[in-house]
Amino acid sequence: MNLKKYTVIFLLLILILGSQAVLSADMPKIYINGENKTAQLDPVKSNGAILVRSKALAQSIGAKLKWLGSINTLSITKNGKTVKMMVESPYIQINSRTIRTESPMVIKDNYTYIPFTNIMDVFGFLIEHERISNSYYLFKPESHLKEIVWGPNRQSLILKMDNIAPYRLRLTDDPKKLIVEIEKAALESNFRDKVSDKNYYLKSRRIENQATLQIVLTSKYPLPINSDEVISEENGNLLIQFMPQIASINWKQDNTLEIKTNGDINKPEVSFLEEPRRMVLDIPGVLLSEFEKNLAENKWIKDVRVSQFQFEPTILRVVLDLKEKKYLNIVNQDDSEKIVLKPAQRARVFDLAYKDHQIMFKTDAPIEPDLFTLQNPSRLVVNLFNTYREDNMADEIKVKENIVKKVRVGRFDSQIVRIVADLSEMTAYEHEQEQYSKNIYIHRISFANKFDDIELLDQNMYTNININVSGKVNYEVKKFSYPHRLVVDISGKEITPDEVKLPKPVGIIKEMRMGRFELDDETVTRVVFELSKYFNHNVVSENPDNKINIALAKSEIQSENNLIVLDAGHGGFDPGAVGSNLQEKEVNLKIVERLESILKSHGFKVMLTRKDDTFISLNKRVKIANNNGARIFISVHNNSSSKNTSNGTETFIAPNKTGDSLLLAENIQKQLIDRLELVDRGVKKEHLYVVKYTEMPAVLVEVAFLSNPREEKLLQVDGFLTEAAVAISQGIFDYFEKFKD
Amino acid sequence: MKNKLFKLILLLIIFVLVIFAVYYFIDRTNLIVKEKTVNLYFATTDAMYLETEERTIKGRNLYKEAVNALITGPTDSDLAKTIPEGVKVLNISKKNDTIRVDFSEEIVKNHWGGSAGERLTVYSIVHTLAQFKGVKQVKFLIEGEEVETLVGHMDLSVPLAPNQEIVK
Repeated sequence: MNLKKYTVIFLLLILILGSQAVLSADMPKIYINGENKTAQLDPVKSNGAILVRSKALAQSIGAKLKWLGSINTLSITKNGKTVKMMVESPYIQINSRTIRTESPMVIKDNYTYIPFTNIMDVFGFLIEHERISNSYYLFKPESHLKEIVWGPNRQSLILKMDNIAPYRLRLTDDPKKLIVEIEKAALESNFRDKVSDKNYYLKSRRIENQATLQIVLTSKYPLPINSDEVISEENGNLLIQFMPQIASINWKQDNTLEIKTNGDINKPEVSFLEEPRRMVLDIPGVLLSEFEKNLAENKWIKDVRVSQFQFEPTILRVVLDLKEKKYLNIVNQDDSEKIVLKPAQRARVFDLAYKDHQIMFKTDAPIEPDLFTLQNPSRLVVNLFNTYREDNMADEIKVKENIVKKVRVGRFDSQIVRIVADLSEMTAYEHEQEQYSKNIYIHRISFANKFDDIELLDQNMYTNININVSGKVNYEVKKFSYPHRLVVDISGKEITPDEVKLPKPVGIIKEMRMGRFELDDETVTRVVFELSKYFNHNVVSENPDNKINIALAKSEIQSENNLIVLDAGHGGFDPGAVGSNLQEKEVNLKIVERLESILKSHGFKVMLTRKDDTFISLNKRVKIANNNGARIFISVHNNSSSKNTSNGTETFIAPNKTGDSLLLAENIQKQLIDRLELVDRGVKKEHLYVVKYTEMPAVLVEVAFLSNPREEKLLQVDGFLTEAAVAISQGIFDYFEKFKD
Repeated sequence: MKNKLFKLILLLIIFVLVIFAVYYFIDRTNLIVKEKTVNLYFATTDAMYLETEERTIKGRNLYKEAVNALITGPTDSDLAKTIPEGVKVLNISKKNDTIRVDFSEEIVKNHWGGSAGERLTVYSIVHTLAQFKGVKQVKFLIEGEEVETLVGHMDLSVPLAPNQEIVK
């Protein structure tokens, strides 16, 4: 009876209880088919593996257990598979095979403990280990891969499954390898690989502890796929779609060359080169693979060489080495899986003329001219291959126009006729070929850049000038006083002032006139706007541009910041909400684009956080607005919930920005409800990232619900999207009006 | 004799204190099975508000059990679940007045999107956990990582406190 003794006993008690706590926390939990069997299995660690009670394990998977005491052997049988183990023996016998284990069967407290991972594997269970909770999940695979076969024409790979389980395709840096991973799947016992051959090698494995089946395909040539998105489901199987590959090149008995692929291909780009004489065909979207080449002896082609010219975009290059003075032309035919070339007759070129600002000539057979511009001096060169000039065709045509000074024709060599147009400046051009009759083809070469029209738009705060030109031009906007005049100088135009109809003056524009003059050796077309009064102006368009856009302020506005940043929600790999037909990211961008053009035409400067389908982080969107000192920030989204009855429009602001932001949000929400007539979910305050961290008044608009069938249909209608943009813009204008007060 | 009695009482008190200490320690490491009746917050079908449904939860870690019960969904057909299919709670623990909960990636991958959907998901979890003693706010992690947002609207870079406006 002394204090010391009792203290020791109590301390021991604590130690035992404490250590129990620590130990049991370290032991894994085991779930079989979703049920927690840890208690019955009583896992024990041995040599880095986990052993469990054999009887409990056999019971939980419905297997028969037999203990052969005389030879210290345990046998577990299920579905014709038998596993035999001997106490302390490192060998496990599975039917007639033997495997080795580091943690053999042991006997503890009259129970036999066996390593569970090997056993479960044998009986077809998948094992997933969750490290954080140290839990093992064992379950039968949800789907089985029965076989992998080629699709028709080797255009695709079909993975035949009995059930579709979550899958993904992974491409690696090695273009000759692709990897397919299927979760919770296993190979069927009689899995058939019908793909491996001299060009392809298929390997499958289970990813340890992740219950994922991994199939790796390696090929001799780069694989005919170009993105991760080519895997899809079809008829309950997984399908990997390939790009067409070249199959054969044959010189046929009828003296044509046939290039065949195993899929639909587009027209190639053709060019002819000399030294050595060759015809180059660049076929887009076709991949190189082993192909058949049969070039019988012929008078036209020496040899054919094929190479993969590039990836992204993918182009296959076929080079035909031509014999002296020989040419081939592509023949139009119906089969989109092949290209057929035929020896070409020399075409006759005749009737060269310059009419209606166009160079015109005729040929008696269709040809593919090669056009390019050169500088110093500026000229357009047109090479007509495999042609000859008609004797009485003009050598030279003098032209009295702005762009084209002279047109000359010559013979480049015995096979090529060359037309050269001397230009006063470099300009864009276009070539058209039209069949007029059986033996007459008309060619027209026109030069770009002419005025389309001039529009004036008078609005509340601005009078807008829009000068539309057919191609990008350099221009300068100048302001003169006494009297107030705004002048737009457009350089290098192919136009005469009396060809454009001047619109009627509106707003503060009193009068308009146009003229042309030479300025520093350049031809300038000047458009003059005489103004009744002037405050300031804003050039909204870029330079150069083909739509010159200027906003003239109609009243005293401080040359204030009028930059609006528009943010189309989501983008890239983040589609946002996904309806049955629409992706939120696309709808958001469509509304933002419409909103941008309305705001610009009202004289606002607009910047978009994204102009296309790319992903940018929330943080970056906020930075764009803050770093550019935007006046206001509008984020456009569309909504979704788990129930398809939810509907309506709502606008969000940050909880700590209730002054200007609230005014802006209320005006926008009101316009959206008035015009779109959906349910009014109101203006709400919420911790939304983009409106919280922006430093200027900011709102996030949720126009409608993609999860609601009726509203999703509306979001597919252009007019509805435009109306939404109009509503948001009107809300913005109302806000600025009220703000002025 | 008095000395002996005094010593016995002292030992008894120490014994009781030690047992309490041990239980407290064990409870901290979540080894004792507990039971509690809690309010689970689910969404109204118009996706505007959260409404509660009572349920009794039982387990070693009640925070985890509460969230798992939320994942299971409501029994009331007028309410909607707020957490998508296949979501697992990887880790959940309390530090001071903040619960840190780590979700598996299914909470993003399988989510239906939209501000409405995201708010309801986030706040159903915040409100359900905030009813436990000493819990004022919840910090969200996904696959062990800190995140900017769940599906692109809510700011999850900081812990979130309950929002009374979303509860009916």
